Amino acid sequence: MTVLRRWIARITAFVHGLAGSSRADDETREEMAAHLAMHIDENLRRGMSPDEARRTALLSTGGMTAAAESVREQRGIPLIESVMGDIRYAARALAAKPSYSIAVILTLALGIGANSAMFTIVDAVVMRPLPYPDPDRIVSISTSSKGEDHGVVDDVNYAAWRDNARSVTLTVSSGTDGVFTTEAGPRQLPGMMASTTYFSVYGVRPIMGRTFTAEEDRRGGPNVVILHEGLWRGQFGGDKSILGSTVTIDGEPHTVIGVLPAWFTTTRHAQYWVPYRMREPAAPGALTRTNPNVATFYHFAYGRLRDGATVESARAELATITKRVEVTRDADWRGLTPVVMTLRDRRFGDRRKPLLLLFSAVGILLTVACANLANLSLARAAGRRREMAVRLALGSGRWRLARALLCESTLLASCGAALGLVLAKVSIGYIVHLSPTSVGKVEDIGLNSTVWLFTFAVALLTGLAFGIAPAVAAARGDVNTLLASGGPRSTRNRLQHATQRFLVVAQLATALVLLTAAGLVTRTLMRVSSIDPGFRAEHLAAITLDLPRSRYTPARAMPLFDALLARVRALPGVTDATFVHGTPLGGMAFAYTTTDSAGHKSPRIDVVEAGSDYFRVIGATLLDGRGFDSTDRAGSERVIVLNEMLAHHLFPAGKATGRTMPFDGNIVRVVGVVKNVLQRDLEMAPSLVAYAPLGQSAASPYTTLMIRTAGPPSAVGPSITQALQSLDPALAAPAMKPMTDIVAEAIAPRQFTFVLLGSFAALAAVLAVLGLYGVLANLVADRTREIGIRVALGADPRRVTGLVLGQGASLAIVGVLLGLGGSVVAVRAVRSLVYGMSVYDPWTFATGATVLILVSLAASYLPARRASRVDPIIALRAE
Amino acid sequence: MGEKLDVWQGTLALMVLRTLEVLGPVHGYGIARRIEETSKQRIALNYGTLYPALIKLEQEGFIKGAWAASENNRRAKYYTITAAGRKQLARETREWQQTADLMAAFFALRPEAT
Repeated sequence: MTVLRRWIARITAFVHGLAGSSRADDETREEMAAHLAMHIDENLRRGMSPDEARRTALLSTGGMTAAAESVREQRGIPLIESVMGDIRYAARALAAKPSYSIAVILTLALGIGANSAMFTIVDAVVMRPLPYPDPDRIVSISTSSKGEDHGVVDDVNYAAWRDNARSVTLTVSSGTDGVFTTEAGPRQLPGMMASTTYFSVYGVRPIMGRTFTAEEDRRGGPNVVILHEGLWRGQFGGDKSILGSTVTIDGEPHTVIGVLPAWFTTTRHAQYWVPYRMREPAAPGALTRTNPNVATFYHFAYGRLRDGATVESARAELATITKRVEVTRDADWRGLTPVVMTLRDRRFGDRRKPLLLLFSAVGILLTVACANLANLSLARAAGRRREMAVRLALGSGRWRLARALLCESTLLASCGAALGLVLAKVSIGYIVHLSPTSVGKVEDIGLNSTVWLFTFAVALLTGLAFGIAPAVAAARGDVNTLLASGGPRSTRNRLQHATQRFLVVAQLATALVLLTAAGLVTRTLMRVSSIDPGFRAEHLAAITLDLPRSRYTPARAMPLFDALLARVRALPGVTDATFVHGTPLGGMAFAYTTTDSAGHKSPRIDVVEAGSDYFRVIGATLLDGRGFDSTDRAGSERVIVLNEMLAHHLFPAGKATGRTMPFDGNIVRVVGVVKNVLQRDLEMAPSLVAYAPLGQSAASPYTTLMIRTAGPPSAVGPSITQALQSLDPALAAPAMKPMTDIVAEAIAPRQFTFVLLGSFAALAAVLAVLGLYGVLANLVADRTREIGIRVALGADPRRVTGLVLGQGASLAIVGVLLGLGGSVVAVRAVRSLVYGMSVYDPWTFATGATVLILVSLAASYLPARRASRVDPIIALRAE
Repeated sequence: MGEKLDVWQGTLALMVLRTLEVLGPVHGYGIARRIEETSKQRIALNYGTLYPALIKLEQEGFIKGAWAASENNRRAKYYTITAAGRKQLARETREWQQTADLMAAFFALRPEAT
């Protein structure tokens, strides 16, 4: 121990040194030196020789260094030293009871680990500011009607806002992909089209060169490009003479005018920027539209709030401008309201809610864990009451005693936190992997200093939370009764049993709330997974073909597509192939509405432009008539296929096939009806869908190749790229996506909440039930003597079993009742995650409650059996 | 010189306080000298015993120290007793007295006839 003490003294001295009190040390030495000198002076006065005077003085004063050290030790911060003592004591006490310590540390590691992992994700997604200067002044701007945010803005409103708004600088931007011609062949890169103000809105200046001029951003202006520093260094070797030189994008020469710094990143990791070149809207009122996509362009608009403006003031100003423009436009455009929100809300707003929900769920889990540990440590404290009493009797302060216990719990919590961090590190990777769409794109998610700090705070708090009850109990006990009470287990105060019961009931109730929420999410997931999308996703893949518009007019694109289709169909491994505009779950070619003479608007119809044999390729079910074939081309009779829903809507009385109808400016014949295929979203009700033959529509250089394969679709990917490049070597490899991936992505967010919430709920339930078991086991141990007397007096062992089971059951039932009440309130939080059923789904509520009660009874059975086997002789002798 | 006595920490504090109460401001050497004299050289104080005790008393606020020049012009730290120190001294003195009286009573016992 002396080694340790010296070590502590050194640490204290070190701490002192840090605080600038090596000065105090010097002072002590000076003081001692004066002491010695005075001693020598006096010896000299008494007539000793200088040598003798010095020797005698040194002899009587002792060594200075050792003395300085003991002074330092004395001076050391007394609190630190006694806390070190506490820690030492705590470590010894915990090592003496390894099973208890391990149980506590593991429970905490689970609780804290789950919290740290969730916090890491919440921190990265919700709390971390966007990587731009003054990020909270960057806003996303769109319009809404009837409360539905469109996410985009039409060109008339945008131009009016851009030209008149004083509170906000606006910009438009949109993602694009371009094929760079490099020495190593074509290379497709993500880029952005951006208007001139884009760079000031995001607060970025080029490290070299300049940004776009208004002239360059006009239609027909010179082709210019700004490169990202990463691309500049990677592809162009960081060559400073790049400014003014020419790069080829999509076959077109572009002059490099600037380089943006590496810190400037966008969500799509844009590597280059080209001018947006917005088409200026025609004069308001001059717009006519049969097909809105033709008449109006929609833009993704962003802005930076100018000084003094707020999101609200900007919204108000834009609303005034919109009102002013509205009167000049036709009736369709009435009732639009601007939506202004911070960019961060736009990006993460919809992810925030489920994440915060999961975060509160782990918080609850940790609370349940703490309650469990409080119970464990109360039980342990009861076993140590005699020890406490002895320490009190020997003069230990009550506060000191309480502090020692708190120190133990904090030490445990710290060990738990350390292990928890390891768990968190492992699980974050898994969680991110689990959620490719909603969280996976977040940059550098990991254990950073904020997470460390959070974990540290949580560890301290949990240490306090589960240590406080035993500490208070220890500080309150009366020495005499404690000492007189004999064995550690003879009597327990009623207060403590009540506390334990209360904690168990609370645990069961909270666990049930989590179970109910998890149950709702599970049932929703089951429901969504079993939705029939109307097509067969297995062995089906979508390949996006986006030919560079500069070289491919629609007229030039068509022959390439035809030739490609012929080659792909002949590929081994491909059983069927066709083109489509508007893949299942991927949207539509365009939306179509009509307005009758009375001004009534028809419901919106999603139009899909499909190639020959489309329904056969995707595996949709044709209910009546035929699908498209190669005879449906320009010049032949215009035909259309309706989905079941649209057929019922347009021809409620009779057969749709064979009838004619007006469509998109023509009279078309309905040749078939197909079973509903989900176009927009797995969880939206089927929409009204019309299929028009691709052969009769205006061709576009943009389309999707759908292939059905014999094996996994990815196997034929390289041969498809080869087929494409054999037709045009300058084209980049196209993006291929198996339809099964698209379906999986549609349910991924649900799967994410399901897996996490489900595991949190299961953990909480396990902890709660373990808590119940612990309390009952304790109860049986405490009442061994009483039970022994009962058995000795002839009690039936079955009655004894019933007694304990009854205790367990009553605790479980009270907990479940409270939990059901809590669930009714709490499920409102998961409303947004529940689909197709009520959040008050009685089946889910009943299942959760039943499961918890059954498991509780199972947990009560073990202590009950032990109670029934109490041997009265042993029980009575034990005292 | 008789045998040297080990100094008990509690009693050393009392001796220091009492010395300071009687003498007024004194430096460490002076305190040591005075205690050794009072004890008739039965107590010898080295640095390791004296200075930790002084520091402790200073920390507890019973004495306070200040640097000044000594009689033969050496810089030394002079200690004075504080109000709290006087109170503490009174309390401890009373306790010692009581203990001493008690012990004296016991020592005064004579064997009783049985």
